[in-house]
Amino acid sequence: MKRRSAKKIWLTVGLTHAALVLLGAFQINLGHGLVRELATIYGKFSGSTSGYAFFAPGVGSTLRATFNVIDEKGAVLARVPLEQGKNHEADLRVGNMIGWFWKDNPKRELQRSMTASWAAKIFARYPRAAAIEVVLEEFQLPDMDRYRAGERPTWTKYYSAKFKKAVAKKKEA
Amino acid sequence: MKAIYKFFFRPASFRPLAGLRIAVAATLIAQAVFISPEFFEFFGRAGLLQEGLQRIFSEPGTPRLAPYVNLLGTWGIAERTALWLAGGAYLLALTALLLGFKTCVAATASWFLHWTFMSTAACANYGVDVFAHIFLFYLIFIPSGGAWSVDSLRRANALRSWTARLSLRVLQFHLCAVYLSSALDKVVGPQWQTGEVMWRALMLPVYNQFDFTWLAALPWLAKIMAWGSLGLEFGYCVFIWPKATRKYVVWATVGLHLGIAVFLGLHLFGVLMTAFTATLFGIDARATGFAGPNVSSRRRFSFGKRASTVERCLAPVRSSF
Repeated sequence: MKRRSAKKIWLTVGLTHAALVLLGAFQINLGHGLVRELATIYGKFSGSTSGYAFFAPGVGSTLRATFNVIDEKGAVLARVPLEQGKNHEADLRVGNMIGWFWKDNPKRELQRSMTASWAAKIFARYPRAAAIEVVLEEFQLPDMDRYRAGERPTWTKYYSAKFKKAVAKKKEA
Repeated sequence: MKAIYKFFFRPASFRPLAGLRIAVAATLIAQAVFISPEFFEFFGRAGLLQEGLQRIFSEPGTPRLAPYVNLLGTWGIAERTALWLAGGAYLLALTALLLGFKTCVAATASWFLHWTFMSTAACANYGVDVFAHIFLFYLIFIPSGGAWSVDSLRRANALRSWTARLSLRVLQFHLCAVYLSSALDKVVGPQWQTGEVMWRALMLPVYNQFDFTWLAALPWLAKIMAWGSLGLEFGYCVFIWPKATRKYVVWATVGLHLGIAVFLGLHLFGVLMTAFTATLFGIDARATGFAGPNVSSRRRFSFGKRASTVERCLAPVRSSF
């Protein structure tokens, strides 16, 4: 009897969890109220309400961040990426971080804070730098038809900002 | 009714769940090793995203490292030391999970610490972290320590149990939901319909591993690849169940994810997704030997020597029913 009850209880738990998985997978909104709140909390703990729309409905573009390291005389000492090239996994994660720069149309202020944070890291890597220019470029990939017609991928400037070491003054492009 | 009962409760081997445990733990250990050179860049308060930004990007109500670092700071422990301690504890928990040593405790610690790290560097995450979080949570409750583990060596565990079957069914159902929803999201996208998605994925610098410029001359191949992936994802939840088609779906899915790992450079994601199908559908859930909780009424729900990890973990919960 006890065993049968345990099976019923665990089947109910399993099916409830599975129902939440379905709601999450198909991004079905539970509306408002207590049930939604509880599902949200449980979803955070279990990941059961996650969506799985990877590469869907398509693949967008990508951004890269490049940093011009400038000395006191205004000469460019180095042009470096944010990724340190230590291994692919670490670089991939840095790339994801850069991707947040334009994800969900963030506020300009947030974008400024992100580039300032990255510039600070580049200052730390280049103690001789007097200024850092952050340049974010978008990868323009032609579709297959246009590629066959001779068009080639290019990087176009999306955003740039300059940070000086002594005075935290910044010029935006 | 009997068929439904058997579907959910027919005693199953612990091996598929143990395989899952080992795969998840091994992948996350590899991930930790890869990330370690830039550990402080991702998780430090003065890292690539400074503390204020970390807070903005992390989901509210999720654990982060900052409060823990601040707490240790009040005791004079430096941030770097605090982060090393957290990282060390995470690796230790994953190693215990890999070995199946105190599996339930190890899974709980791994899940919580992984969630904390994931939430601290939320904007660096991708699919592998989402799936790791989901499956680490499962590992807390499922009897994954019942086979191929230190725990199972230390105790004379049963070879199969209904808890293993029920766990397996929920996990299998979850995988089916993943593939079906993913396919439905993709099929409405014009890039998937024309095959352009393959061209873009293979050519974008973030994923590009090899020269695929030749693909532009073969748009039909890109289209076949896209529709082949969609066909597999749509067919997964149907054809993974019958024995006659299961092995083909398992092999095709393994091929798809290893392809993602090799050609898109998503190594850990590809390996983890491969492991899910390979363990949950690829490892035989039938087992010979005594059936543990089925053997006798005394053993059925006694949390004695033969109890699986999950049974021992959930004993206090069950005792309240």
